[in-house]
Amino acid sequence: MKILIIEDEKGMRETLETFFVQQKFVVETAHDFDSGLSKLSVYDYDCVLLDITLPGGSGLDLLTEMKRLNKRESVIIISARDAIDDKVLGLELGADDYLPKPFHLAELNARVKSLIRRNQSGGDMSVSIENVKLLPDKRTVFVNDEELPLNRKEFDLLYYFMVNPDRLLNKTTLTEAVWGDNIDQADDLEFLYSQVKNLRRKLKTAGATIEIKAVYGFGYKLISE
Amino acid sequence: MKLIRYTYIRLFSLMFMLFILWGALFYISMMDEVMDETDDRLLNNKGLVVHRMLQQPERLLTADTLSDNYRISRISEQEGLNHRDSFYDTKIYIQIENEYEPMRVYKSSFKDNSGQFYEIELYLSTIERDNVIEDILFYLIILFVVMLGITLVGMRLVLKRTFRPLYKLLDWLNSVIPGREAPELNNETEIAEFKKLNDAAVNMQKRSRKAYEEQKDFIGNASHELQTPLAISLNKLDMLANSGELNEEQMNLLSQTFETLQRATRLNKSLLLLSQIQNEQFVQVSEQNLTQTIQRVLNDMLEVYSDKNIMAKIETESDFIHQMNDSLAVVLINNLLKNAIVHSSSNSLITITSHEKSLTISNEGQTALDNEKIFTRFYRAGNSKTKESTGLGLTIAKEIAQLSGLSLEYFYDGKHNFRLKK
Repeated sequence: MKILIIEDEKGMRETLETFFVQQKFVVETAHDFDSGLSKLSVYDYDCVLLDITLPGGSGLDLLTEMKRLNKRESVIIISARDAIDDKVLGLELGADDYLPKPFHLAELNARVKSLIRRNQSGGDMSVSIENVKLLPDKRTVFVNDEELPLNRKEFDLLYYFMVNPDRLLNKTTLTEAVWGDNIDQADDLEFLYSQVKNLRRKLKTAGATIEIKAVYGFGYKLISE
Repeated sequence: MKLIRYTYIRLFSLMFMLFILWGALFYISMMDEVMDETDDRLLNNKGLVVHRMLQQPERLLTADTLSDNYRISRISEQEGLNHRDSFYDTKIYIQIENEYEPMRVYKSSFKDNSGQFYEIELYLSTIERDNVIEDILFYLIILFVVMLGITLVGMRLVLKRTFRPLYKLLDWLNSVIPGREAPELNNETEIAEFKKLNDAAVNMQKRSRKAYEEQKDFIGNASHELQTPLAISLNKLDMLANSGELNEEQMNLLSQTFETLQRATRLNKSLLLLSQIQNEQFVQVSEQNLTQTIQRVLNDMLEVYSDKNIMAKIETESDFIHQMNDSLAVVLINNLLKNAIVHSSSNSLITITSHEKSLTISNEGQTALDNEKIFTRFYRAGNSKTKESTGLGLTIAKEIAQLSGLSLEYFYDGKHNFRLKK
């Protein structure tokens, strides 16, 4: 997997680089419009993370250039300018997703993986870990080829865990990913605990070889047994 | 009291008094003139009568007899010397007409060649004179009323015309909404003060608009600029947590830091959203069924706050449908419901009432909130926990309502009610 990060902010670029290296990606970075364009015109990538405000030009112009060069990379715009216009324009210009800063790495990871799955697999969109197989489009889960019935929230939680395996996920990151903005005032995360508890029980009963582990007060982690 | 009315009443009272004064003076001097006229004729008559008397002294023999319009009587020398001329009004009985007639009397004296003193009284009917006086009074009153009427109407017209630019300016000032483009002030006037007032008002409006814009831009820019550092910090903490080299105590510290930082992030996002709404970045509108949005959001929300065990009841008479931006509609409903749930105590009831023209979300509460303040930024009612709220939810809801042409109001009737109205 090859990913190109075009981002002028050094701290951001390095964080993303470290993160995706950990995720076993081959990572290239560019810090401005020109270096981004030259990398894009020479190499092919599986995914491009693109900032909009770049020295030397706009990320949106880079999208236009990519179109002109007939490049087919999946592009996720990551921008601090959470403006509707940018979003609409970016998606019109061929970007696949738009993620406003600040975002959670797990969330970015989920989106990158979803895009890559869509581009690579000839129809096989599934995410598999050990004996658990999850079909995001059909919203179904199989353990040992047997369907595991989950409610909507349990499914969303499991999906998030499965695209971020072996990663410690913060509890508020999880709630934001699954419940959206609704929770942004809640400080009591009882509902998360009970959903995770149910999910764990169901996985265990079905004989799944993966487990969701609580890590101190920070959050949860999906591990293989 | 309106300026026009005030000026009008003042001017009118002054006019009224001046008119009365003028009328009275005019009447008195006219009376004087008319009286003089009569008295002059009496004086003249006396000259004629006395002259004739002295020419034909035998006439004096008939003295003491009352002739048509004079009477002569002898008086002693003593009386004659002390006699004073006088005029007075009286009424005299006229036999032929069998009625009293008003007369002007001139009482005087004279002395014939023999040194005999006579008193002479001359009479002149004042019927004509009184008629003239009556006529004068009558026309004076007519004139008074007509003049007053004309002045009244004229003054009103003039005042109205004079103050028109002022009222236009006031209307314009009322139509100015902070942060919105002000309508053109077409207020041509020749009055220097009003011109100055117009210019001052327009300048003031421009300055306040500029200040408003700058403030808006500042909030927008500041929150934009904060996004990247926040993102970096959050992500670095995430990496640290995933490094797997921390003990429990360190993880707990990290968790607290992470959550605090997320609160800052949410606050910043809310500020950004507020500035985007105020910058009118959500222009696309479509038909939104807010009643359905509530039903959709409510279940999630109750699940999230399941520990509070709150009951919700939706009473739908008719769906509340409005033309507005779809994402703003969701934010609006989210914020209102969240507000209701967060500020409800455990096991209480939330009621949603949907009509065609209004949508009300009510939650139980003991005391009314301050209507003035609840929609202002970072206002938190006394018992509200700061940890749970950004202090921006209702401000954002209000802004969205305003932008979408809805009104959002709060009232208390034993419950807290937030009502959206078309």
